Amino acid sequence: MSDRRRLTGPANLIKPNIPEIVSNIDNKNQENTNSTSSIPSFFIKHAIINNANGSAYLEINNTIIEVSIFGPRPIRGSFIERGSLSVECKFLNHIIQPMQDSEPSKTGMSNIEHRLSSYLESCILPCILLEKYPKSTIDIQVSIISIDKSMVNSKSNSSLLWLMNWIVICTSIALIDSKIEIKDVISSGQIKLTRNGKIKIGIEDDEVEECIDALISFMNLRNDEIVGIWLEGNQSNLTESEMSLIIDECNKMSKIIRANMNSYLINNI
Amino acid sequence: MLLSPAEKSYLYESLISDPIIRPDSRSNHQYRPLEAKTSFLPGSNGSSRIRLSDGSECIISIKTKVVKLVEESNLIDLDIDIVGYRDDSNYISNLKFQLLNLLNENFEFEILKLTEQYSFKLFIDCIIINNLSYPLSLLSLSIYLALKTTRLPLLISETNDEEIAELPTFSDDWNDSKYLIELSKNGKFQPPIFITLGIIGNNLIFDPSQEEETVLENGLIISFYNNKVITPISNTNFALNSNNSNFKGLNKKIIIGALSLGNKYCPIILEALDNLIEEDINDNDGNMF
Repeated sequence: MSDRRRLTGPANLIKPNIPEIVSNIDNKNQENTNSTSSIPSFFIKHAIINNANGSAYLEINNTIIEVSIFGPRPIRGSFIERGSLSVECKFLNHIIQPMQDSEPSKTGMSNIEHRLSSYLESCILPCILLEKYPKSTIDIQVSIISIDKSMVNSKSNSSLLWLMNWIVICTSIALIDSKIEIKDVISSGQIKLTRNGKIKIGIEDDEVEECIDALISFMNLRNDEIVGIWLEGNQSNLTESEMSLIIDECNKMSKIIRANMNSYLINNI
Repeated sequence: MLLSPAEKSYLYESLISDPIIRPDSRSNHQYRPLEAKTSFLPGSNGSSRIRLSDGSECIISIKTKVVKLVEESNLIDLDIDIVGYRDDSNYISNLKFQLLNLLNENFEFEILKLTEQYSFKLFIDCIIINNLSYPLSLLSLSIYLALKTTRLPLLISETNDEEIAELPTFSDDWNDSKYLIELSKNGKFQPPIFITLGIIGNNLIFDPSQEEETVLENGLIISFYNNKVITPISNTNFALNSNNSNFKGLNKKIIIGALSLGNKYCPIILEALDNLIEEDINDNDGNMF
């Protein structure tokens, strides 16, 4: 008698949900999507740092981000059941940080760096299977090597959200490179919803009109689970239908970026 | 406080059940009882203090300074001190960023303006003597109380100094001082507040306590201003040290649900705080307790 398990697989078998392969190898992401606004093309490369367990590099316009992941590595001291995660986002010293007050040479991290780190941490926490790594720690270090000029001059938070968006994406690639077990790859979408219902992607010159800037991160292959949400803006009102529209539009953008990440990973790993 | 796996599981099961069963038998939109006092610091323009039932305590002092508008980028400065945390820790920096961001985006700066050149600048100092749960909402409500009871000295010099440069001068009599609400053009000065919402299963809970935070699936921070839920809105992990094993993503329905819950119940919270201020002003005893 043939081994039944060979044919049907184990009882707890899950079919992998394989996304459609998008045939754009060099990250030129716009041609074959039907999005009206455009996401600028971006460049990703993984495994650039030998000393790190996983690393990735991302360039979009003048924004350059590098992420390195160390771990899982053992910790000293008492036993912990689940891995512990630490995230640090840093601007390189020479960069003028967006929305920065006139105190550049402060020791330690700025409020903005802390905010970016904590957003990234709350995105990654639901994604990594920390229970697989008892008594270990995973350290994620994000360096922002360069940012767009328009970001520095911008008074609104939208530039911060835009930057955060790409940090999340770069970290996702680095996580895959580090071979740490994760539930799904995180990708995110960042949009601007104006008063008259227009959707804009990307950072533009400061406008006076009321708008909501939104950054929402998803695990698109896990029922579009939302792992991170960050809304800013100067609009005096936020209705439920606007919220629903924002989530849908971010999801759309997130899926486009995810498709690009998938095609990069299929071709390069 | 550390809960055993069995206790956690029990708490989790009761929180995801419908109708929700919270350990202190609150309904999902109920805040923990709080005790508050305002205007007790004689050296400050405004002050407030909130004590929660679990022993958390926060004291706010607001001081003001006359500044030249061209020299200042922000008219509100805020500092947080939490016992047991370094000032440059992620915990404190994050709270500070969020509160400053909220106030800068949603504050009627017009009321601080003195003349064409000069304005008041607010310095908000927050001290948390004891906190067990995520303190953002506690801080935000205390700041609300303090701002509502902040008084500014009466300006007696001219408001127009475009032609003749003049330093603003003020009335010596503190009884002439004005509350911020009296300076407001539309007569209703409502500072923005943050509300923390815990997410567990399909339930949303207001003001999660320390035990509840350890089993939450996610945490949402919404802001409320001018009787509406507005931005900033964000999610965060309320439990410390990433050791919350239930931490999960959110779904769209929950986020939209949070908006409607906020719109429904936040006005009641503000009404309660406003009543408290009124009572406090009436029995103006200058006592902290």
